[in-house]
Amino acid sequence: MSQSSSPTLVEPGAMNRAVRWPVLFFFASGFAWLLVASILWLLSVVQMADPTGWLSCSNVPWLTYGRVYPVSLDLLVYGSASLFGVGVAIWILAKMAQTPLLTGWLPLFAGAFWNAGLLFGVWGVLGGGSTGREWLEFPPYTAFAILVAQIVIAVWAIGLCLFRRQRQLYVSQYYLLGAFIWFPWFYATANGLLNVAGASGVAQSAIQWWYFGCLFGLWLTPLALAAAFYFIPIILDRPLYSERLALLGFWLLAGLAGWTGITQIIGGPLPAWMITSSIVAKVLLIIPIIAVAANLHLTMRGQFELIKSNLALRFLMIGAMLYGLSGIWDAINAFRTIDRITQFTLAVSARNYLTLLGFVFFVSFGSIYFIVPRILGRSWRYAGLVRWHFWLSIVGLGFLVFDLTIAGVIQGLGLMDPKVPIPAVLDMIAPFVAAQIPAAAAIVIANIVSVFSVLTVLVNPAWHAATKKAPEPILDLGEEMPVA
Amino acid sequence: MKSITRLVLGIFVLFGLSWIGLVAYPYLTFAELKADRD
Repeated sequence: MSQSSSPTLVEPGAMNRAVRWPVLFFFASGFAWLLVASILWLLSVVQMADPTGWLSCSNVPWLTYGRVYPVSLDLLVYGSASLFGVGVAIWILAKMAQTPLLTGWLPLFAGAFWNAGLLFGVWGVLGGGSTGREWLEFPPYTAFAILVAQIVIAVWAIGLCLFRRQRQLYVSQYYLLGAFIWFPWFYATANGLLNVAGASGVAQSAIQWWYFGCLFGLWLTPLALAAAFYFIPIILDRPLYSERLALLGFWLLAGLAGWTGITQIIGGPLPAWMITSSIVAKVLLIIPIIAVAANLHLTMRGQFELIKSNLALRFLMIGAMLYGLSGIWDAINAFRTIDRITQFTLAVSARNYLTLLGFVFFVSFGSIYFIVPRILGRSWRYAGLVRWHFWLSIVGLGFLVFDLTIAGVIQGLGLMDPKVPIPAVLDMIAPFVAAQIPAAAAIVIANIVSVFSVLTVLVNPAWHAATKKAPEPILDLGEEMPVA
Repeated sequence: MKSITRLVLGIFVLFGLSWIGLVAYPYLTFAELKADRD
């Protein structure tokens, strides 16, 4: 189905009004957490480079590296990336279902619960109550609040798909429905078995890293791919090249992504078939990645010039390209011969940053730059801010990933050589660790710019209307601005 | 079968396989091993 050619059953302006509050709530809270996460992340990067400096905050326990770093990553994933993704998903699902949002309070209720969970989670981890499990640091009582929010959103999304007026399902709905069913399932499983039921021995690491694979592969990835498959054809005003190819990608992702997490602990004390199946799944994931890349590339065919003028499309396309890059990197890294060098090194962080700050955030920002003008009926105030956001992000991310990968390889080779003492390895990577700071600073400034850019449109309409300068359109669509 | 039913079924079955293989299996297996040792 081409969503651009689908009959309009509900007037677009009415739909924009119906989803305005839930979508804006998720976006606004996502930006608020992005600001907090960015500052904490930059602090942790500085602390890593200079562990004895005054910014190490050794006299303030709740600001020490061991608490600040996990909180910053948790907020990037469960705060901004997830909240942005859910906000975008609400808009896409409501638009595609072509049905009025009769239960708009449900996502709002879920959003409030989710934010409360995050708030108490941050409080708990900074206060020393972390579970100590990577990506699952939030104490169980706060994870429960987030789980309730996920279940509510899942029920709402399934309801919207069941009562849709547009009968045919588009591939974005596949991805979103999958994400909304999978996330509460694996979040409840991991938190329940690890923090409540008390899984024993090495089962803990199997469950934890299975969860990690699911978090990236079956939550963040489908949210972002749904947005890419929805917005890119709409902005180009042409149908997706092949919906069959897109569906092939979906089913392969659904079948493979859940198996991939165990590659994090290759060599661990688990049955060999578990680790091998995980490696095989990660390598096979190249097929859906190529399917996505080919589909979007062929959809864009002949229109790549638009990336220059359309900033939303630029974020979306670069984000989709980074998905391909991070997926291929992941597959190469999953081989035992490569993994034995990069495992437990900074190269792992580089790969995570590429997926999270690259693929997921770029697609999210592209979607937000598309949606916000439509639900508010205003253009972006300053296109220059959006351009700065893009360039600071891409330059910072590129340098960060390159820097950490080189450092990771040096670190890995050093750790493999028994003649090289650990302090010597640390000395070798020290310049690379310090070089993270400007790269991280560029990304953090980019995030602050994005927050400011949104604020100029969101919270100051009087000033927005009063200024004589006409707002700069960043969406070169040739379409009318919807009336909010 | 309706497309939505097929979709939800596929989502459950495909993900369920990894859930059984990488979560339920090690959880139950290692819990038994611990019980035997005790």
